[in-house]
Amino acid sequence: MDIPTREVYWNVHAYVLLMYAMAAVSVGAFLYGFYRKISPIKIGAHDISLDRWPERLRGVYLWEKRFFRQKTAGFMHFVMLWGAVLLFLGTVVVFIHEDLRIRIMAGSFYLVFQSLILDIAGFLAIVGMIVALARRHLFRPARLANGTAADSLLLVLLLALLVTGFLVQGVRIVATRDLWGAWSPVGLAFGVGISPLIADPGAQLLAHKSLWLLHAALAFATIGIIPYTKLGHLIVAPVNVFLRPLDGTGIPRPIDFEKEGVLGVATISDFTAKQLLDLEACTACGRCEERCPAARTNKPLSPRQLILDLRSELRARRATGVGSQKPDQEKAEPAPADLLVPRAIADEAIWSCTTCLACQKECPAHIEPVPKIIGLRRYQVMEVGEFPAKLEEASNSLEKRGHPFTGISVSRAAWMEGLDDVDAHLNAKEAGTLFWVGCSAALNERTMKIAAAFYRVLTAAGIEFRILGTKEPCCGDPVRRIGNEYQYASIVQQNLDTFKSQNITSIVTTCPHCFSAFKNDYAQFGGNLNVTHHSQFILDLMRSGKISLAGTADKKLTYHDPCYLGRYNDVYEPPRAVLAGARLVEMPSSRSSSTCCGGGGGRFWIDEQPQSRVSYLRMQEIIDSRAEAVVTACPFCMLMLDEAAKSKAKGQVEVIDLAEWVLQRIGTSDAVPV
Amino acid sequence: MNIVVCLKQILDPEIPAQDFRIDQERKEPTQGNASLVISPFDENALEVALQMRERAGEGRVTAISIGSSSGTLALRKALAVKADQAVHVAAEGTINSFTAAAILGAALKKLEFDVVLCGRQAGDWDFGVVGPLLAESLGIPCVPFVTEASYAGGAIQAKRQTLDGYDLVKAPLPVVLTVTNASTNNLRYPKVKDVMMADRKEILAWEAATLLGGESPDASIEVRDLFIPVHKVECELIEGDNATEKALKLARRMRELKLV
Repeated sequence: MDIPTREVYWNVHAYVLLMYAMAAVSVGAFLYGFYRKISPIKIGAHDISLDRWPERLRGVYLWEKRFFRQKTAGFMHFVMLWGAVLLFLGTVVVFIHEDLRIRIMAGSFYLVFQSLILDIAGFLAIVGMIVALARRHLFRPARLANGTAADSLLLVLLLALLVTGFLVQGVRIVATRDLWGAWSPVGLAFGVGISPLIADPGAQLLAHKSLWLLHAALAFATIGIIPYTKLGHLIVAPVNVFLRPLDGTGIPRPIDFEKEGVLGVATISDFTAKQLLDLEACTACGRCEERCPAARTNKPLSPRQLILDLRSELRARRATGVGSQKPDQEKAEPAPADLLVPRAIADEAIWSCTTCLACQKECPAHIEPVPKIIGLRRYQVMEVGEFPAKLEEASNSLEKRGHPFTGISVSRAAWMEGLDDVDAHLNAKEAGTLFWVGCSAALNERTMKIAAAFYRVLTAAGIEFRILGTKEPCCGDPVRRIGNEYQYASIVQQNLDTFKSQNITSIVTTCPHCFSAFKNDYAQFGGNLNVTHHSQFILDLMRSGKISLAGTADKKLTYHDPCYLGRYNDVYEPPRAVLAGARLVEMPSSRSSSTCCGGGGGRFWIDEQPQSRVSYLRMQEIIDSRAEAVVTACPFCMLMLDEAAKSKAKGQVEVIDLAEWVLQRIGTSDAVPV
Repeated sequence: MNIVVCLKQILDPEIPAQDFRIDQERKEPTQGNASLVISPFDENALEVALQMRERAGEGRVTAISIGSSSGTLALRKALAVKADQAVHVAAEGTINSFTAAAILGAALKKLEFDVVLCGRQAGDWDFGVVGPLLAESLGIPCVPFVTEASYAGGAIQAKRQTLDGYDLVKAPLPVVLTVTNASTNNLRYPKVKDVMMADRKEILAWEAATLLGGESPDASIEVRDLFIPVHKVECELIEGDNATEKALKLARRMRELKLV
């Protein structure tokens, strides 16, 4: 018999039935475990969607990229995941060969795939597990500090599974004098290694039998415990990635105020089914916490802890059976004992979030803490009426005077002073593109220079555009992030009506919050606007030759990615392309890993103690980059960083908006020195 | 216990100074870009009313506002924070403290009341006399500068702010209290459901002329002139090569200007 293959169940034919029995128990435990784990999510409103499945599948495929945002952890997961997948396929091959009697386990396929490739895969998986164990016990990153003994035990179990597998194989190769044993180099090495202990053929048979039984028991035990341990993420994480919301990551969903019973999230059953699935997908890896600006400045919020606390709540519900029935839409007032805030989630935790989305971009399981936090805020604001006083002031101000600031000293007209042809642009009813200035750029003495600079850039490029001047309202972003959806919905409706009546379909703005609101949030309300951020607009002007930048590369610059431009809208490259002529140094925390300025999600209005200011954290990173100036593209970032530049960096770092940087290089005589 | 809160709707006092405009002819501010808001101390008064009702475990809060139809906005807000009733008294022309007190006095004759709350002064003209004038016209006591109040044993106990602390005052009913701001009486944030309910509630519409029985109240005061004060700042930069020289030049210049 010269066709390469091997005898399946050699030496263990007597135990095959036992093996099937073990398999049945194991699969039963597996299925029951997942049913038990997943079925409680139906207490949430149904929002699981399988539409656009090719895009969803592609996301699962690309999902691996997220592993490698952290190199060691990425490698470890990669080899363990693909090792497991390939070894499982190997088992499927055996099943087809032996149980279906389709003899595929032969010839070069047997040698290359079933022997060599699986051997290497198994070996790399062992390496991965050793790396994982080392990370838990020898070189432990801070985020794994609260790992449990169970976490380590699981790794030991998996390691034992692989090692016994190789030993079974090795003993068989040695005992049967397998002609093709060299195609399984790792197994062969194990066999050769152990052979001095079992020189006698009888001992070899006994050793093989015992190891095979042990290996089978470990394998089926592992499968059986998957849903009961953190190994559950092997299944739930990819499913969660597949089911992820495809439109507007991190954008809260609108509320139907006529139909909704409880506004926002009061109890665990007020989350949607998909949001509850998120909770079961978490492995507590802590990548979110490591990037969270609130956690990094010692605020009482960790996205990981939030998810774990909510999961405990979900599991407690499962244990007591409370809420196991799907609630009616016309639900009564939530029972006080079930309220999440402040019993399960601290009040300060939900108000510490800057909605920067760093946690979500980092999460390998595509878990979304931000919409959950906004859901919790919504209940506090709209049903309880209790939220931080500064945010109440911002909401009230927005309602009374159309902008979220209090105590401002400049009017909306101030930024236009000294600019050419303001009246023409104010009255330009026909010019399509609206330059939307935004409250944050119009109503502060520092940021109004950004508005003026971009106005001058547009003028220099000969663009026809219009402005609303003192008639410009607020886009509403702050109140949506604070959780005041009722107020937000009415602002959006008013603005969409205004746009419609004034025939405005195209908007350019210097504020990423306005930009993202018009682009993503307004779309949920039927808005169909062509929205451009000024970084994109300026790049287009440069590429079409309408402006050209001159001047020398002077100061060493770094670029700060605003969250609502970068992470929310993936606009990372246009501002960098505009800055192509500059001496640009990148901070390690840039693009989707950018650190928030601290001003999003309503945090702009909350006074932070100097030692816990997110803006100081970011300013330190800017100082560490050794740049002399930081360019940003958001008026909120400007205000946060400008303050930090003065107080933290003692004026050593200059903060410039992209529009200001560009204007200086267009060479107009009235360039604003910055 | 029946509590009546008087709410004045005024031009947003928080607008930037450069946006503030006045009408020289009518001797009144013009609205311009300013929005209409409840006068800040009146918001405090409304909160005190709601707290009094809560503490007593019973009672009825009526919000009342005089002026053009825009005043209903203030009353909607009052209903949203769960005032029980709202009354709008339509009145034309200029209303000053004296006419306001007269109209309110006439309106109160149609309402049952034990306590009347006003802000200590309006956020626009800052006269601060409507409460006392009203008390006088009704012939009842007035306790000004109250931050907190509660109803106990047929009387009112009120905390009254003073220059160096506070007085605890007991007053018989009925009584007028004027309210000043404190950390305890910032107007609560309305719940969305209550805002939606408030939009459906009826606001009683009365006419000032009818209430006054055709008599026009004595305005007592007249605004002779109204203007925006101009703060003129002249800036002169003292040049010099070093600090000593600059200091010398500064000293010389200050003497020239007879500043020292």
